[in-house]
Amino acid sequence: MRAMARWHRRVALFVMAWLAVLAFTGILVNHANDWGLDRKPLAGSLQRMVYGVEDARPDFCATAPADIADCGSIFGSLAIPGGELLLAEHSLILLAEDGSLIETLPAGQTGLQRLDAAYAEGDAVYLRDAGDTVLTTPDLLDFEPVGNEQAGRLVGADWQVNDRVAAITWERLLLDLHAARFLGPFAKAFNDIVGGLILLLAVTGFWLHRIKSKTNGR
Amino acid sequence: MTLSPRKAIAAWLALVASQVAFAAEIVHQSPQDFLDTALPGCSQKALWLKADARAEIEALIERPFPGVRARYCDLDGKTAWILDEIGKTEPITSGIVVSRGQVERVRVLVFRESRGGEVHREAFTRQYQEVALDDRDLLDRNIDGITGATMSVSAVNRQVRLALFLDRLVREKQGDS
Repeated sequence: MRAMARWHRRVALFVMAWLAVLAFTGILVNHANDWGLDRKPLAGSLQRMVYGVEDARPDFCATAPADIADCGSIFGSLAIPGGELLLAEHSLILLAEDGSLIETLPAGQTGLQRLDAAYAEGDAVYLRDAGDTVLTTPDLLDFEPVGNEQAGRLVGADWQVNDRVAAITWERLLLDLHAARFLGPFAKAFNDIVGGLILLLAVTGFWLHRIKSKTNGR
Repeated sequence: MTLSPRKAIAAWLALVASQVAFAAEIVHQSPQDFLDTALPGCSQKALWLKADARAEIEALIERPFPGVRARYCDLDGKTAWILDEIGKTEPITSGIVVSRGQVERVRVLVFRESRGGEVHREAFTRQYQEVALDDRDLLDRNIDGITGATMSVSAVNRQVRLALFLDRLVREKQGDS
């Protein structure tokens, strides 16, 4: 029984430290949306230090309307008649002339898998992903596939291209900490081990309690 | 109480296998494909929302509604809506066809949550057929939930209520014009 109690304490000390990290990051992730952590990009120096990536894009989160959820993934903007079109990998964000949000349209509803580049010419707005190009109008209501011949003629145009790494938000950092992803391929195994140890603590704790009760606490 | 090595390995494998449950997004049908099959030949339109309509929508979906317009596809008085709604943490994308104030079809198109994916099953979505809004903007029929998918079921319920409400706005607008 003493050996079990000793190991119970040792395991508990190891698990306790990780549980504290989990609790802290869990609370922050739980309120990430309320506190804007899912929209706020990491500072450039922190992003470089932790993830090793540079982010030289303009800070669209500073100028975009507050109700845009994924401003961190915006890679460019197009001036179109009647407003502005913000371009993100998974959505198009249509703004009015006064900068207010008209609509956020998921890229999947344009006929593309995602948005890799966009180009505007008068009333024509061209969008493309890795394989396809579609043509739409500034109101973003109809999307027509563009044939290879026409797409070929647009190759030299002034496309806004998503050639940058998506901005990393504070929520991303917290989620990576929470899931121990900094351990790389060992993260899952680590979480499994800690989970297993917590189960073990529950079992041995119950067992020790039972033995203690039987021996009147001796 | 001893744990044999065989049992320990089985428990370990079960834990590792459980990671598979945290799958990424599952596309049951693309939004465009849904529109092509559910309402072939429909035309894309936009419903512009006034402040009072937005306030009602926000009360209905219990969250802020981003933007001032909602897009839909229209054909012969039927409207089709592609809507996103958060289940627990990730958006569920559903396609909903409404015909004169009654649901004609609901299909969960993209599911991104780690659990609750049962809401895409036909047996569940079939319950919404011919459902309408009552005078309190609630569904006029009880929808049976799914054990373990409570939040996903609530999200689909909100999507259906929103589609019915938006369809009503479209019909009111068409009546005005």
